[in-house]
Amino acid sequence: MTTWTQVRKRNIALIDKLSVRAIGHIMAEITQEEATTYRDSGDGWTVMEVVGHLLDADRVFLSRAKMILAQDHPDLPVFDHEQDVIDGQYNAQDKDAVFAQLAAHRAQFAAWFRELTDEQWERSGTHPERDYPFTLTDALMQVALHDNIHLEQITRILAEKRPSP
Amino acid sequence: MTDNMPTYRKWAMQQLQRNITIYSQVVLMTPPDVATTARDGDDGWTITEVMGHLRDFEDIFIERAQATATKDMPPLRFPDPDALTQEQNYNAQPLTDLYSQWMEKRHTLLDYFETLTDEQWSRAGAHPNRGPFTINDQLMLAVWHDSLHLEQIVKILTEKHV
Repeated sequence: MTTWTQVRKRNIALIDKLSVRAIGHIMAEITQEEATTYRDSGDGWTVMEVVGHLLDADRVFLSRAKMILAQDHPDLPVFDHEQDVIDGQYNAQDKDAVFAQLAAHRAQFAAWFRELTDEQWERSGTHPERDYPFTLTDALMQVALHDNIHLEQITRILAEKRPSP
Repeated sequence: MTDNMPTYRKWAMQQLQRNITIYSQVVLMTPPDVATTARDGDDGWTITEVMGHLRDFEDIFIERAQATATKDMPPLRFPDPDALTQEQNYNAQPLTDLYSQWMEKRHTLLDYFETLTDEQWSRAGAHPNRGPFTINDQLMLAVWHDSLHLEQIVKILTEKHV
């Protein structure tokens, strides 16, 4: 009874428009210094590093999704998200430039999802951290969940560090 | 395909739970004078009005889920959000009160969702705009609805159209 087309369509809109736009509004509001110095729990990621991680993850998630589409139940690669953030040196980059890359990549990812047929949505691979066949629908839902986790992290970093209004 | 629905439900409920924290942090970052004056565009809702809308629609979500789980294709209520905003005069109520009331209702919704069986999750009610609408659909809609209005609130905070 659940209309999967609608569920997918709504989740594509969520990852394409809502979560990334919310992060974009926040990035536009904060200063470069706030973005690169306020840390999660004292020594965790900065807001810039969280946004950089979202960009890294988006690239990995799309590459995995493309593997699922092109290959017969592929083994999906692991990625070291902590090392990628270190390698990305995001705190040395311009906040608006990094966010622009995320927004552009996410638009590309959402457009890719929109082109899938019902049959393709069912294709799967072996995810390194999940014990069930990981479908392209799973991949979409994972992006929405991942955005939500890091939106909470970003707002927490800012709420804890910014002076109360 | 539907084999993974329990996982999607778990993830969706995690998002609904986490949004309690996200909204609390956004409310904390909202200056009191901005809460009732800055609007979405020139004449859209204020942040307080968005929070009031969320509070009152949480009741709708609870009511819809309970009706769908226990009745045969019940009609699902969809009150006019703008009319409700006018009627309830949200701007006269403190943002923090509206948030706290919404949070309590969110816990009620999540607690209710936790009680549902697989059979109940697949039951449908009649949504006035969307037709047959299962509780699975209602859960996914609630996640989307949270995201829609979170984006709206941070946009208002950033643009500060007064």
